[in-house]
Amino acid sequence: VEFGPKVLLLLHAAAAIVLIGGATHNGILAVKQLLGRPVRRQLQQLYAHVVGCAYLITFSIGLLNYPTFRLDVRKAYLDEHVPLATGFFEVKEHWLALGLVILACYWPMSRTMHGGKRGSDAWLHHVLGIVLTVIVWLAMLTGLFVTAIRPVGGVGS
Amino acid sequence: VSDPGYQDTRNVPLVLGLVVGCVAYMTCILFTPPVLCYLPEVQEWTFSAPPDRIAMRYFGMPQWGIGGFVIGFFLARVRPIGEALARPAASRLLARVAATAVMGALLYVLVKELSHWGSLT
Repeated sequence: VEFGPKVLLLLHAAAAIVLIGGATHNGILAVKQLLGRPVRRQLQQLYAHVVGCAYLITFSIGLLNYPTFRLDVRKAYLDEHVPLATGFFEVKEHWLALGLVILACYWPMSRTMHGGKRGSDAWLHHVLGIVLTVIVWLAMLTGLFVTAIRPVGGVGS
Repeated sequence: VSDPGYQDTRNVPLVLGLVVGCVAYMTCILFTPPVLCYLPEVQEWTFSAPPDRIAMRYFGMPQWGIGGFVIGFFLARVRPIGEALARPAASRLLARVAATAVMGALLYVLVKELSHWGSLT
């Protein structure tokens, strides 16, 4: 068992737990706002900050562990035995990279939002909040799926 | 600024950045331009990966998306462009183009990757 990749994997998971919590609450607020219901401005901005920080931390740790995953898990096992898992992992990576671009728009835009704000930018802001939630959930489920099949740094890697 | 359908002018560069960022990322997928890659087997960075090596493009592809975002952001800071995009009709259209660009990019990679890897199952 390799401990370096394992420690990174645990840190990645810990950051992802914060991210999924923040993104889910943020997504619920976005749905409420799209339905025209009021939300507290401070709460909305807090979750935007939580999602932004947790996203960057989770993404960075994931990148650090990616070379190990690419050789010891994907090349050594997934590509040959479970190619659909590789497919989902590829989708996850692309969606998270696109999520970075979305975040670059969404995070600073959150500062200009308030509970009753309407307008095309408010509409887009709420849609992007929901999209980010979907991206984060797909990434988490795919990560759990792949880790359940063969984790990095595990026996046999 | 508070009129329904009207975009806060501070957000126009962000929205145009999102559109250009998505287009840049899709360009990177569709046309495979030079991208910073990491070769994990030999632990080297390169812009031109040999075909027989495992090349990790995920380090370079987000740079295309973020690079596109920065270009779009500063494009909208050019006064005539920013003013034109801040008009109510243009800002509504820009928001819908941005949402379409995001959804289109996400759906494209979903279908592309799952159809490719699913066919190998």
